[in-house]
Amino acid sequence: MTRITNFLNKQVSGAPLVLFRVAFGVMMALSILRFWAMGWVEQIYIKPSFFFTYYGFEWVKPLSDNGMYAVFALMLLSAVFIALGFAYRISSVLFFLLFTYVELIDKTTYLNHYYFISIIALLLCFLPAHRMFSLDVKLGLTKASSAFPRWMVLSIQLQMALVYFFAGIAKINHDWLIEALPLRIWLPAKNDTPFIGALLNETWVAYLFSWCGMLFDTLIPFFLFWRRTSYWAYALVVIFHVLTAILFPSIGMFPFVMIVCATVFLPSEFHEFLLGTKNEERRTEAASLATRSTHLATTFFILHFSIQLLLPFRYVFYPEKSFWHEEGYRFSWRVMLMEKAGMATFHVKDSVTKQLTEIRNADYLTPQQEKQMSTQPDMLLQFAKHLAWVHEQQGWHKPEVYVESYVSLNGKGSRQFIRNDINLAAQNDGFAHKHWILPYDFKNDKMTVRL
Amino acid sequence: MNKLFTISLLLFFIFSLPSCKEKKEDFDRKPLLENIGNNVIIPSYKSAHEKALALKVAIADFNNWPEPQKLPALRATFKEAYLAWQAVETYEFGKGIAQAASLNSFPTDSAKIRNNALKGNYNLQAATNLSAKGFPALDFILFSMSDNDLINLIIDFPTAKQYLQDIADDISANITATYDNWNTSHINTFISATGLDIGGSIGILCNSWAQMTERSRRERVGNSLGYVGLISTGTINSKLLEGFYANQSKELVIANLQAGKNLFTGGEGVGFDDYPQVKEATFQGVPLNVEISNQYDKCIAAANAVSTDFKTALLNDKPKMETLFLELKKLTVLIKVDMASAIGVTINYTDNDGD
Repeated sequence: MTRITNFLNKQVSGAPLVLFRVAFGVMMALSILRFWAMGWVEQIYIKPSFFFTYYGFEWVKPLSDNGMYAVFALMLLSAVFIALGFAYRISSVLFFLLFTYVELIDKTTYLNHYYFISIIALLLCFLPAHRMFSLDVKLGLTKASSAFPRWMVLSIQLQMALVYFFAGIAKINHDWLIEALPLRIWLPAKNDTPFIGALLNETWVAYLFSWCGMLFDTLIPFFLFWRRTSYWAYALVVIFHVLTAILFPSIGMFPFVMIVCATVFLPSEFHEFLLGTKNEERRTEAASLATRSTHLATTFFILHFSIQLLLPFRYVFYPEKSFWHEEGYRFSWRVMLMEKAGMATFHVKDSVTKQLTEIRNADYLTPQQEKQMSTQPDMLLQFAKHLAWVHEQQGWHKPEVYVESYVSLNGKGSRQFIRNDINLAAQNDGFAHKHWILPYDFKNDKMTVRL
Repeated sequence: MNKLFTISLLLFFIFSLPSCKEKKEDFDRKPLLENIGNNVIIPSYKSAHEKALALKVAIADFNNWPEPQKLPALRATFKEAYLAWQAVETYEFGKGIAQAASLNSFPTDSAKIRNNALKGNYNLQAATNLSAKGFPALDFILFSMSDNDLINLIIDFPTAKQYLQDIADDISANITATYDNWNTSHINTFISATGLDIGGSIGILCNSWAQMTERSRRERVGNSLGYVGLISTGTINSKLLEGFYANQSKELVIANLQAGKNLFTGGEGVGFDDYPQVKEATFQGVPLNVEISNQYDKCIAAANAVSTDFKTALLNDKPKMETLFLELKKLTVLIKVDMASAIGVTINYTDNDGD
């Protein structure tokens, strides 16, 4: 333990972390501006009449129109302040709380990328990344320091490494590696991309991208950490993310956020050069960040990363194919892994009069919500319960809700997804396996295409 | 680390080698859109436009000299126009948007039609009159009365005469405007938007296609059979059929399905069945292009297997109608889920980030 504590608390250059703070603040500010300019605040958080909350977070509700805009304005301000290093302690906490609050409103918009930002924002609350190159130092609000305990820089690096690593091992599956799915579906759809378009029709390119993608994600953290290869690895990071940005514009800011954030892996000379700080300074001031709370920090560090290491593996507690039922799927860095589409037709039945009605999903949900719901059982359940509630308000007696749903995974044929004889209104969400999800029917799972 | 990298690289080449042997045909979406636009959609609109124009002229002629011997030809002209409409209903975009509701909302509201006909003073463009215009309204006016009653109505009530003409004019104007728009500019817009993202023609077409296939299942067959969505209530109501008064429901659904199949195969030219990803994807082990084409055939066969008209079949041959319903349900899933997913277009898309 002492060895670990010593290792984690060894004083290292704080420059990578400080530069990361600036870069992260800038990227967040840009992302929020983009989100706002696209009209998504209104589209996602104001317009819907129903929100898919997270299990255990049903109490999180959106604010009024002006309230939501105020939240985004404050979020923008706190991101700018993080970049400037102004009132950093408050700004970082505020940013984390606001961002996470917004994400918790509706799981329709769940993206691994947003989850990543929430975690980084949480980490930044505990890291004094404003002790250099900040308004706080300029204004004398905090003591300057150029050397930080290693765990501070390491926690950002490790968090990023985990994203890549888990995204990589998630790709080690039959469909991805052996059948080049879903890239074989997705890449030809981009065959009008300039220069490389024609290549994207080729099956071997889908294989190349699948395998390179898997190898890249799994191995890049090691090469980034290793001093001798970190510049080369960083160049690969740039190429990889630029390529994904071109091929999949729908992933938005994610590639650019990762490109900018991954600079935290580069040797500290790089950051010191950019910040204009000198090596000597750091050596002389080394002890300024007190080590009184070293054990606490060590414990926190170990605890956080133990959770981060274990959480993505929770899918093992669920039977069968996690791509199918998506139990234990979120918060596991499973990024761009499958082509999934579905449709769901709901029916509400009055348990006394037996009156029956078919639901037009669009009457209750936005297109985005309907699309996400159609392939995710917990969302289907939430909507069913909402329908029961709405109809009960309208005077129906103990409404029963049934769904007829079909889902197709990686172009292998649609099949029934949820048992259509189960009254979903009487089911409860939870961490247990949902028995009303039909098992994935493997026997129809052959592709016509030979390898 | 270097060793691991070498092994991985080796592994990669081993796995990717066999796939190199197969030369993949290049698929360009432009020829597909050209063929669908020029040889499927525009000819369909041309025919619908000509038949709607003929209907408008026939009604004007009948209105001027309402004679009983003109009625059989007038009714035949109506039936032909309604059949031709089936081939364009799928294209609910561009100028064609909301046309299914505007020209083909059924069941029609006979009370409202009577009221409009006898009192005049209606606004055909108002949303409240969607159920009192278009083909279903003409279906009611031309086929629900005896020849004498219809002729007397036209002679005795100038408002009814005007109303009849207004409905026909509205149908013709709507279809002609869409046809002209396709011919002049929309065809270029359609062909050039080859992307599969938002605003791409294939995505727009597939969304509309999925929606209209679902409409066939639900409104052309399901409702009259007593289905609420996919659950049977057991209560039949033939008045909910499309083309109820002319008793044309079966012919209409067949025309609709044949047009759907023609869209899928692209007629003689490049169609969605030539799409590599549609050929690669499977449904229960069958290549998706074969499956969808077969499913269209199965639906058409199921409609043909109903030996009488639908109105009679609802009473005497319900199992055949049920079969048709189930085949249409399967077709809807194939278009809406399987084909859309294979091509890589999103049904219900919005511009939003995803991962």
